[in-house]
Amino acid sequence: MSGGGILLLLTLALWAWRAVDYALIGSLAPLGILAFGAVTLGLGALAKGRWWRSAVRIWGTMMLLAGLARAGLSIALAFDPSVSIHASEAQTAFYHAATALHLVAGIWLIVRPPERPAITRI
Amino acid sequence: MRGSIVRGMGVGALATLLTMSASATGGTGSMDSFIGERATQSQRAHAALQIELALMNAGLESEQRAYRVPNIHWALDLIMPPQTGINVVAQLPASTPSERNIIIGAHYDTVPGSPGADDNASGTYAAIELAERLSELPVRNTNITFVLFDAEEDGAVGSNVFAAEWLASGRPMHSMHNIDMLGYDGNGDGVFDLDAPNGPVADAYLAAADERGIRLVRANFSSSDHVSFRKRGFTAVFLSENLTDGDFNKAYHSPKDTVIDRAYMERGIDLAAGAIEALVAP
Ligand SMILES: [Zn+2]
Repeated sequence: MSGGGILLLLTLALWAWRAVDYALIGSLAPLGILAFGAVTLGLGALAKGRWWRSAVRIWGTMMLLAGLARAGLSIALAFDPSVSIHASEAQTAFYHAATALHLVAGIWLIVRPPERPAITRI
Repeated sequence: MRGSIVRGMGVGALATLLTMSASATGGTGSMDSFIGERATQSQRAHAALQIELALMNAGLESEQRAYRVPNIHWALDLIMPPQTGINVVAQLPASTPSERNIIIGAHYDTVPGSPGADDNASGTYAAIELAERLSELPVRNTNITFVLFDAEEDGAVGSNVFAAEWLASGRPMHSMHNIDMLGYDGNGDGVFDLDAPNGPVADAYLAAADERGIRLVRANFSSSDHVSFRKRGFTAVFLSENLTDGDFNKAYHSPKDTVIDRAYMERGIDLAAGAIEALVAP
């Protein structure tokens, strides 16, 4: 599998985990993002022509925006950690690793979208 | 996940801690033991245990209710982990079975960097002392639930969790009484602020103030834990020091919030006790 394919799967897995975690405690916001991404990628994979690349770029843009939001929050908290103790305590190694994944995957998927997966029609 | 859990602690360990706490503080819930930064998860967990022990010392059945809930805005759920915290809840049942319920609450967390003496070790101590005083009433026609809320300073998370659970339970609630900042009287005039809707609850406070020669200023506050109850349709009261009239505590939310004016706070507690006694033991 290509680097882009791995990054695509990693971001989908991360969002699937977030979607389930939040859905179980009553928030459907991450599930909404995942569903939008999954439907976009699914339609892109089924459609002919350039749609797959466009679908991947849409998901990549969403990941890049999420990464920028995460990084922006970290930078804001570095200036004033007292804004929210919850947000400050969320700044773990895992948080920063996930931010890096969002940024790298976002740029990679926009610049070099992976090949369309081979779909076997039943 | 929502719901209540009692922290797994053996009865023996709890009894030891209880004894240690009682001997260290020289009785039930010494006020000084609540002063000190209570912002991080570990600081708040420690405070929750102290409060639970103080309420148990006061003779009430109490428990820690840990919660894990979405963030205060859905967009934060896209980039942040869920909010976690612990409300401490104690029950004082009516002397004969009753469907009537009063909630007495105060937040115990602080902003980072502040020892939170006035905000809100004072309210925490007030709630515990009210538990002691009201439990001594020979007759009560109302169940009283004491709740020490977590994370008021981070979006009133604890009180929102508690109020939402109460609403979902369908149990009636006569009124909620929130005490936030009761330990500062810079100009020494002995005045307190009351934010309460007109009606029998406000009347009880006004009558109790009258009896004690206390001047009570009617005010409006749209922040603190009572708002979590009002927005769900419950009657909620907010009692505090004189936050209006230019007597605001300059140490608010700062490392300088280290002192409680004990005599003034005791007058505030006595006022609340008088009003609530009139409501539960008329
Ligand atoms: Zn406060």
